[in-house]
Amino acid sequence: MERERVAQLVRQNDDASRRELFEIFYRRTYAAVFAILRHRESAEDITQDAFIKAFQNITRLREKEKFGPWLAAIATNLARNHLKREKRLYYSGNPVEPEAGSAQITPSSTEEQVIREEEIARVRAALRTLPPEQYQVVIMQYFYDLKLAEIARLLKISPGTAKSRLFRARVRLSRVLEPKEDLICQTDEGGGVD
Amino acid sequence: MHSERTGRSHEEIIREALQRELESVSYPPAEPLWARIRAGLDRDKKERAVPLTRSLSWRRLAGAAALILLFAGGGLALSRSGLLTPQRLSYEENAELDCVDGKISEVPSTANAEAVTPPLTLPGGFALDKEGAQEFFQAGNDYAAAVYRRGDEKLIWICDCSPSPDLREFVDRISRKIGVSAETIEDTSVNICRDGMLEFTAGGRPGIAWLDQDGAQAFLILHGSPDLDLRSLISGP
Repeated sequence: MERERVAQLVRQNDDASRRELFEIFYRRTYAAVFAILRHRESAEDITQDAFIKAFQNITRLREKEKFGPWLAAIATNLARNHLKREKRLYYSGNPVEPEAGSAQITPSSTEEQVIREEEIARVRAALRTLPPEQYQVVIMQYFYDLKLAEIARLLKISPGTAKSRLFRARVRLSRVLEPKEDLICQTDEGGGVD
Repeated sequence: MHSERTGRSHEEIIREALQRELESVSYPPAEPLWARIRAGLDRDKKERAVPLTRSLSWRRLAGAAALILLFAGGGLALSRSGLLTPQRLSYEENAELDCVDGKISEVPSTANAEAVTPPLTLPGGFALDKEGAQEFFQAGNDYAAAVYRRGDEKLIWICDCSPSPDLREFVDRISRKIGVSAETIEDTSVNICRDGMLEFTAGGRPGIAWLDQDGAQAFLILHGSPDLDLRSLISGP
């Protein structure tokens, strides 16, 4: 339903339809940009630039219903370019502890729910340590439900590059879900730890 | 048992974690942001309304001229350089380009309503190489290129005018597609990032790339003096 509406708005491309497209997409676009930049003012500026660029080039978009992912690709590329220009590295590569209270655990939660909430909190913390180019692909895959070929096309990278970025991100995110198992493996390979 | 978990279950957890992470963001108020976007669009509309001021148009036109050089007029000179192989000028990786069957579409220059006369010279005495350019080509909507000559020296200017291209990937792409033959891809290296610009070598040929409001752009020396200061060409005539 939303896809059809979006395609219709893109085709109309007048002030009112641009406004509606903004209403539909500005939250998720801002969120994707903020996830990469982690800086409010910059994320606002980049979101603004992304919409302007998208509207300026809207007639080039062939698959009109894909406006959202296309806009996300523009926005996240702008965010990455911004980081390069600013030479900012928010990504440390070190494990990040989940923020206190980030797991949504209530008194009535079952043990399984508690474990899952803790896992989600750990993955959220790990997401924040992803390099921007990996985070970008993760957003396109898991938030916009795009296939690898679509991601590659939108980001203008080869499918192999998209695949390897996604693979590395998955490895990194999955690692925080199996911390004890990792330790056991290292112990086995290394012949024991003191 | 763990391996059973580590497939689907991890995928689900990652998906949910990302969903929550993005939903937890507090958004700026929509109205001021929309007002800024509208102002930006209005400003752009006014700028476009002023004739002969935008460089993008001449670049596209210049790109058209360059591509005919690559395909027809400049074939001999370029093949002598050993670097350019016109059949490599296909953009099959970029489905957003207006290409037909992965090939560059040919569009008469008059099709570009914004077309203005391109500057014939660049600083340093480089002149647009118009040899053989009786018709004009356009590399999809996004790509433009031009070949400039100064005596025996030649350089190519390339622009990816699509919204927000990635500079490093642009350099990598032009190196693969235009600058060097497949055998020398490994030689392509991005050396320095200074002032937001990338200095690179493609098959031993020096180049410089940068981003501006028109997109990602690059100068690459085809043949001639490798000591040429490419930065001096950027300011425009």
